[in-house]
Amino acid sequence: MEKTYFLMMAEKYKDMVYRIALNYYRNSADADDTVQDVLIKLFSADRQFQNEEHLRNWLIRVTINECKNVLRTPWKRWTVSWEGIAATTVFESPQESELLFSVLNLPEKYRVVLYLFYYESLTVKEIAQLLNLQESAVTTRLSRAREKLKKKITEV
Amino acid sequence: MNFEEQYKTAFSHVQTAIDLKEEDFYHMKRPVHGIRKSAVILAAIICLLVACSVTAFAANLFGLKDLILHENSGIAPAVTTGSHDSDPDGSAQPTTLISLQGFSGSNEYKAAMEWAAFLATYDQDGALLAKVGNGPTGLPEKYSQYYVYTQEMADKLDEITAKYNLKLHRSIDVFDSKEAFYAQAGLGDFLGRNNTDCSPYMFDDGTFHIDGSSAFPDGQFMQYQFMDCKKGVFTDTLLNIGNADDYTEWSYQTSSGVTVCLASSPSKCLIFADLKDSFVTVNVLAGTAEDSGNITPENLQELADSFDFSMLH
Repeated sequence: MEKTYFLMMAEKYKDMVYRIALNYYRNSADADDTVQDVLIKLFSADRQFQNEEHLRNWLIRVTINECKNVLRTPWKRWTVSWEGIAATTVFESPQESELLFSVLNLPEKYRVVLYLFYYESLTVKEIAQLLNLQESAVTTRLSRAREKLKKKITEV
Repeated sequence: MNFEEQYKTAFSHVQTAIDLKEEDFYHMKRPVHGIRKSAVILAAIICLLVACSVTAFAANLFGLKDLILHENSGIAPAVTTGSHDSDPDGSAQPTTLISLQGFSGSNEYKAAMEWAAFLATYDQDGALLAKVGNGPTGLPEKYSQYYVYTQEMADKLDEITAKYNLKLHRSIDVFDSKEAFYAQAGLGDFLGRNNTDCSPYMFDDGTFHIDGSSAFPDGQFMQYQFMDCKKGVFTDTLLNIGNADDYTEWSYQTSSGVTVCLASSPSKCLIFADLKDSFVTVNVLAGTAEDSGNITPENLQELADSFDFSMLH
């Protein structure tokens, strides 16, 4: 990949990769590791992307695969570090931090679907394809995640 | 501000600490993760246990293959390739869907299969779903626990559940702790003290699901999803187990006296219990492969022993 274009895209999407990874791990150090790993893959990717959307979708897919691979190691799953997230994130209101930590308190399967749906604005069909789920499972997870969040925050 | 806007605002503050520099990518190395546990010893244990203690189910009666939804049902699992990209990491996996409701022959299994087959052919281009979006469907509340967004889908669901004499879930409760869940479900502590970090939800009819984890004496944890589907009720959840041929199955009498079916594969392990009033599936999020948890048959039996299946009703 051409260097200037790579740096531009890496800068633009590194936070997206980080947020997806954070939703999987709930650990900022591991999420940073995944940003490095995924960007190395992008840097060394021997391929042409049709357009920026294509590249973004590729990054999402590679990030999800990377996170799943890391999580296959059982002892890796349990290094939860809230302090790292809290220390490096500046919120403008208590409600914002409350929502973030409420979401991160949900089980992984809800966190990831919520992020892809609400932040990356992917469709149910796209999420189903990325996560290898049926569309009904994605909709159910979204619905149950909202149900769980209702108990923790004022209005969903 | 609606939920989507609140969500985007909250997560927009979350940013990586990685500062990109061009030269870094010429010197960057993969980050080194934690030291792996004694893989050689575990591999030896696996070989020994697999050789000595695993007995495959003869004729596969009431095993994994009795849960697979028939290939000729028209059910099309989600694919891993398509509009996003051709699989960049070689991650596309075979997909096999199984019923979590009961073995083949049960009304619950047949209903799940018919419903899944209907969904596989209905609104394939997503046009009807796009029209409804995430807003209210306008359908009666009783359909809210299912993937139903048109009257036609509601009618089909009614038809299938009437045919197999099954009830619908009406409402759902989500619990913050297993103690709160036990109180409402009228259950004793069937998870025991080794099972922690539980996140249960339960339907009005007693069908429940738990995301949990189990601690092992060596300090490792195993994550799982525990699903208890009440008989006589329609549950539409299915599970993708990858390639069914990858599994080794055996029966095992747990310490609670209940005989369960155990199945292990390189990437996933499963526990099934066909109880008097419900069908239980435990989807273990780890497998026998070295990079997937090194789960041994003994580990899986230990996990099965950690649940008191006799307390479930």
